[in-house]
Amino acid sequence: MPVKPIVSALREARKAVFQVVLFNSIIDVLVAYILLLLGCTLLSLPSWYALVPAAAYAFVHIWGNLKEVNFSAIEEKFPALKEQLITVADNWKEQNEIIDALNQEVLLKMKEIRTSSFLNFGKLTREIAVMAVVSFIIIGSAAFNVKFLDFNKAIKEIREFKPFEHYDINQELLEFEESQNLSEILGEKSISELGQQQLNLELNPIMSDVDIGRVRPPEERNFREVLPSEIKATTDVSFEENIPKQYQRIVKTYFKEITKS
Amino acid sequence: MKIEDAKKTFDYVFSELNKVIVGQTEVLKQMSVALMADSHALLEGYPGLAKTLAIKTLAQLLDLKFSRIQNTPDLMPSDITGTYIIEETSAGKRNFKFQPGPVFANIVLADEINRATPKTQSALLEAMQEHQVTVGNTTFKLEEPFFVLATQNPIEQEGTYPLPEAQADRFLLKIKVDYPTFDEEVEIVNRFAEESKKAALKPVLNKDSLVYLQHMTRMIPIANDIKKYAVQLVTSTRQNKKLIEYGASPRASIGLILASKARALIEGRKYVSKDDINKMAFPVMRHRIVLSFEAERQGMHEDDVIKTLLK
Repeated sequence: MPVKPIVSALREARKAVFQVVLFNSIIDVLVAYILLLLGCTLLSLPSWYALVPAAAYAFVHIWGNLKEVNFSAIEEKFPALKEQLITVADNWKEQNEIIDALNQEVLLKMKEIRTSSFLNFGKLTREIAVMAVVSFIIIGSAAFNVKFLDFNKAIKEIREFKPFEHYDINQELLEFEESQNLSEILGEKSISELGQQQLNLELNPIMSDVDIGRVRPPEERNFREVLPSEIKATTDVSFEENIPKQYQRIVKTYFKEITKS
Repeated sequence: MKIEDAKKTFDYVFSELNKVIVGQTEVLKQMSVALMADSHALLEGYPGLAKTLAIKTLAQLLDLKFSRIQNTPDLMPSDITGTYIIEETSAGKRNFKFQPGPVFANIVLADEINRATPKTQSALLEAMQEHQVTVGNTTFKLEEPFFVLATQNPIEQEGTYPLPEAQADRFLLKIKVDYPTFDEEVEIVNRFAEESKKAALKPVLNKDSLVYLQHMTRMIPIANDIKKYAVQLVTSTRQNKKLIEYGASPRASIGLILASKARALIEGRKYVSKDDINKMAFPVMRHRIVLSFEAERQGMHEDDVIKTLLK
């Protein structure tokens, strides 16, 4: 019996394996895409952001899987067939009744190979379940507007945040003009002015911690007039005010207005 | 005959053997392997394990000429090969006539072969290897098929002559006969201590069928990878100097392939599997390797070393 039918049967089987591997890879990519989509939803990113990494993953994953499709995949799936196949391959030039019978047997077994036998139903079921669950989560998060982080806003804030730059002071705001409403400097007038209302404050002696009955006349104490030489009185730099000349006028006006009220 | 028919035949042979022999399935299978490979087997086991009975029963199932040699230290080579005797014709003339010995049979049971002297043992050498016997100046061809199934026990070393490596190498297989299991032993007691009726056996295979099955055995295809695996296994016995002092010869490689083919045929398979090689490695190689001192120091036996090689 010629070995050609076995070779064509092997090619058929390889085609079936190819299809199954492609299908499995697509499912893997779909799972990856749905997970990325969930990420985008929770981070308020546009959904097409998930497409780019999913496409890259699809390319690498499908290419890698399809590259590994060969006859050994069939042999691994059917170990009993493996030894028969290599025996047939190594003895294709020989012809006797046993080799012919072996060829027939291999051919029959090859015909019995179903595409479904290459499917990993356990993995497939798990992946479909993951897709279903993640899809519900996506719908739920979209409906209830669940967001872990507003990614766009965060990006904007990060962009606006300039921690190492000097404060950019608006000079116009600092320049005082007579026409300018004081409320712009002092805030709202009703709040900045205390007004003419008299405040009646009363101290409740019961509530006070001071015991008037225990107040004694002041004691006379003698202090040493000569101070130790190591004690010196100096003026601290922090007390010195060094207001730039151009702001002095503003500060002066500010305190003047406060004292008026 | 198809492979399936061959398997049916073997199944029938084993079922008939089991009428007499309880258990020992692997031993019976390996004996059949030796027959299919057209070679000889040496059965080793303690006394009382039905080694001789197994061979006699197998011989009964084969429609072949069977003879038995009970080896003893005083057995002479001529007792095996045969000798010239003086024969007187009707005319009163006396002639030398060759009287064939028990080796002139298809199946020869050489019982307790290690009790015969090396000289007598070596008388079997030529017969086993060349399938011929030379007496005086004349060489006599032995009838095909020709099998020597020998037995020996590993104890009672007093007054025995262990087979030299060269002669042991002539045996394709050294079959180890182990003790039966408890249930098997109960069945043995029932069968032989209580029942007096002997099982009636009919010959299953005649000479032509056997020769055809031997021919089929050689036709079983084997993949190159598996062939290389077998050869690699045998050559590894020559490379592992730590455990093996003397490794197996290329005859072991031939034997391993042939025995694996025979096993495949008996199991009704049309190809040789790696499992056949692994299973047949033990009976094919255990008598062909000489363990090193280190292996013996570690208390290892031949089978342990072969197991190590298989790993």
